[in-house]
Amino acid sequence: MGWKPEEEHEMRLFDVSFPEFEEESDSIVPYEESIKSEPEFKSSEKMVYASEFLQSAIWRNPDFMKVNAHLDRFGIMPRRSGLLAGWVVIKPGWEVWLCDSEGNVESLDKALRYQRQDIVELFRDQFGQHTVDAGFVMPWPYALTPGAVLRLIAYHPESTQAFEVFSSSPEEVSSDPEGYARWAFTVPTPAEKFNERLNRWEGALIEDLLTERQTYFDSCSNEPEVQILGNVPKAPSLSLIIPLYSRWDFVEHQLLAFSCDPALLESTEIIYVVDDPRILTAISNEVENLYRLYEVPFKLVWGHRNRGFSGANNLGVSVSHGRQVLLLNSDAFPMKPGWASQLSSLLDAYPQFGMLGARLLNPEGGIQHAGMVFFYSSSWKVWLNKHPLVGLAPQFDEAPEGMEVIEKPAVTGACVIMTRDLYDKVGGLDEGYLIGDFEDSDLCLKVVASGHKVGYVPGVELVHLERQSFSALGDTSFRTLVVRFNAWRHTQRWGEQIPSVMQRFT
Amino acid sequence: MESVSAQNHSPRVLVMAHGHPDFSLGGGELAAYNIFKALRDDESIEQAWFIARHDSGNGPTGALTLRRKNEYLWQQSLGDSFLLKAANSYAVWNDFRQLIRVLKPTVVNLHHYFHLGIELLRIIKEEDPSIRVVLTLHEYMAICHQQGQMVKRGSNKLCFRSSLEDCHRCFPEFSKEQFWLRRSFIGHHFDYVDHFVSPSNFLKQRYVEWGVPEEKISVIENGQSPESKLAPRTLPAVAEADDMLDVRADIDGEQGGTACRTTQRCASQSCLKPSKPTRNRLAFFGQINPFKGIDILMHAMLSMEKEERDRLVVEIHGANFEHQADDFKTSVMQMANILMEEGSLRWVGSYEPFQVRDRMRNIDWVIIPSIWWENSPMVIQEAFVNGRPVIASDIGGMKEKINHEVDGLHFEARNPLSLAETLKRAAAMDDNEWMGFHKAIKSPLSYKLSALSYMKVFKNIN
Repeated sequence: MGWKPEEEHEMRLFDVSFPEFEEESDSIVPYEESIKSEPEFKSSEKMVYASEFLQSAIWRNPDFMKVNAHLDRFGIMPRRSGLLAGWVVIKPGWEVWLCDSEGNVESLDKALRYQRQDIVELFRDQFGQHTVDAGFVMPWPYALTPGAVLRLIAYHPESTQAFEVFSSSPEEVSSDPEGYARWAFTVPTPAEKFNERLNRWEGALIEDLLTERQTYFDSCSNEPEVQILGNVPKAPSLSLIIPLYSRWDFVEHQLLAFSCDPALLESTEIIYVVDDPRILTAISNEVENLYRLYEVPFKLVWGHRNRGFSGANNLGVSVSHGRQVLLLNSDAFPMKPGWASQLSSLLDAYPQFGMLGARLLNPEGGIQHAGMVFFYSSSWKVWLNKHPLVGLAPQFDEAPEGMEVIEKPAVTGACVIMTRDLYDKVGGLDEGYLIGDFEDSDLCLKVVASGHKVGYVPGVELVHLERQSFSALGDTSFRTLVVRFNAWRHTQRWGEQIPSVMQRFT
Repeated sequence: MESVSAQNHSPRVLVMAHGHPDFSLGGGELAAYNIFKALRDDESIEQAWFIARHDSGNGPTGALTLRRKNEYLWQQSLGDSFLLKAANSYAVWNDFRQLIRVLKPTVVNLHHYFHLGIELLRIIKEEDPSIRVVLTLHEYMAICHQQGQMVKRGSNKLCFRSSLEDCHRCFPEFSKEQFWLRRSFIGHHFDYVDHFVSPSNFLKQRYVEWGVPEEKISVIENGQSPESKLAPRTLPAVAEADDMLDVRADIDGEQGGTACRTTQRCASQSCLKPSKPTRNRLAFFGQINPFKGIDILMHAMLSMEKEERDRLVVEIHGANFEHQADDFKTSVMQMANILMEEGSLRWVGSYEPFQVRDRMRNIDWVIIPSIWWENSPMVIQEAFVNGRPVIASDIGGMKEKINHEVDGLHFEARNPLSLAETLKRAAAMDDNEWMGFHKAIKSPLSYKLSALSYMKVFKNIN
């Protein structure tokens, strides 16, 4: 599925010299003149146009009754690739080509096209039904520098006439995966076409950016800073890993809960992983107070950057010592003491289960998590995770009499326990998702693939303050598009296995 | 966490309050200090201390200063009004904990957790789990973030119960999740309390509904000084009274019609024209703030016919009015000025506790028109000590402490017309009828008896 520019370059013709204007045509303004007004493009500059047919075209004045077009957005990651979007209306017989100042040429046929009502209304009189699918978005798979120019050229094959419709210089876009996505996801695509965009180029591109970033940080590995508060057990049987992102006021509430749990204090190593540079100073200066007030020993780990849910948990696990690891969200609070040791002994008692999740309740007392299932979204064309029974009173989550552990397709990562051996064996949480999503079900599917079951323990209850947020299927906010990228990636990896997993639960 | 060690020994009791009555005369401070004084003078108590939260203006330094023998001031304040945490955390886990280590109390009785910091409850038990922690509740702070009033923010409507959804509606800036954390945080700390004391059944019930086990809360009324009832106000002779009314009528005639609104009249016109003097002196005592309903009282008076008002005089003995918001002050004073001009209202102003008795000498009724639930208002106890029946809102602690038609009169809370009718009825009472109320008033619980009940709680004797 990867985006491989070198295979898509049939149309690309290098080092074509500057097109010559047909002097005889009196209606033609020399191309040189038409570009003189553009400061970034000096007439003395040697221009190359990347196609023989354009080179030999008859250049004429623009006729916007034949072709009209505009680039709304054009961004490039310098020396890598770019993305552009705009609209075009074309009379029959005409074509539109895109040419950059490095000599690369692409046909508009490669673009993802969609309906733009604003363009239909503007050009209905001149272009009638040729206003259909006026919008376009497409990658620009060439390495450009910020001063480059992209031109939209109208070409009439029959008469070999050509004119420039529009030209524009790119804005510079970050090649950090999140930075790129923040920009690229504002380049509009109708919600129903977003999956196609991911399939055609953008999913693989973001995956590549994520891999590159990971490789970079792996190469300049910086030892994490560890602050130790109190006497953390030297040989813990269990390590509790809690990443902190955006807010840390929850820590106090968790410590208060842990403080009245002797079993937990005795055998558990508590590790808070600061995953947000914005809160580092504040929490670093408050941990002593928190430790003295609640007398719960813990470690505070800072990994020098925001690693996301997966990265932060993996870092926490990497510095921990427990035979078992329990990943816990900072906004999850146990209802009563003994919860962690209960999960720990159940994991030992049921070795066929590779991981165990707990029952999570929302603050009003309804179910937030009682195991997860996968369901296929036909509109998004991906598998999504669903929390059955969410919001209902806990008695609707019926457990067979005496059953402590119930097999589920997946459990949430907000509270999940595994042995360190298995966690390491399956490679921990996948850091290839954007910002954070689907890593937990990805982990579950890895555990299933390793021949283990995923279990849910209804007898261990925590309150999870995760707020439900609303997003309609047509939503194209950044947050939703991140979910869609992650869902797309998750489906790419597990789309074949998920139906067989789900089959066992129907 | 019910501790037993205090039971068989002579207790060492530390009483803590959010303020010292030397500087702050709220009901909670006085109640706490009175218990301390009773314990101090009780030979069955090995040792008693009083620590009051204080602010000398240097901020919450955590410094402890000796006020007088066995009485300390602690420079602390509220750091997180949402979670009710102390401002100086170091002073809690370090200084305060050391203090407990040194004093070695067997009982700590806290009055209020506001300002002291709710963390204290845990720290005491962490230092020594055998210490019996007794918390006296004086308002609804744990239940309600709206200054513990259980009155809806903005609309000032009565609130009957807290919930994540309801509290978030009052405070949209705090999410439901934050309210869950608040409830959980306070609940965790209340788990360290061995026993609670509530001065009213009403307040107890609200905490039981909120989640404190019923058997963990005892109701003990705040104690009062054991003085005898004041003699009834001496009524003027009949002729004198008629003269007075004539004079008032003349003054009104000169001034022409002032702002009077028409409202229901007393069915019998004769009740407005007493042939002999009536028990028509009524007074408001206490703090003046928007929850105390002084505006309801003004509206009630303005709703009467002028000749109805001429039959009574209302006095305002109130503190802290100057510290209220300008809007509130202006609107109250606009109404008060009209009434003062025609003579039906007298703005007497603030008073010291020792002056209460004198000020009640010349009145017949005490009015408590609070729009919030109240707990056990000190003014009710003071009125009863002095033998003055009380007119009060028919909700919460007021309804509980005042027996309608026995030692006082209820009116429909927040309803100025209902209050107006009640004022008219009270003011028209002749001496015989009023004496029935006066005689029915039972002497409130004394400091000593209140402290004795506390002692049972301290010693864990049922």
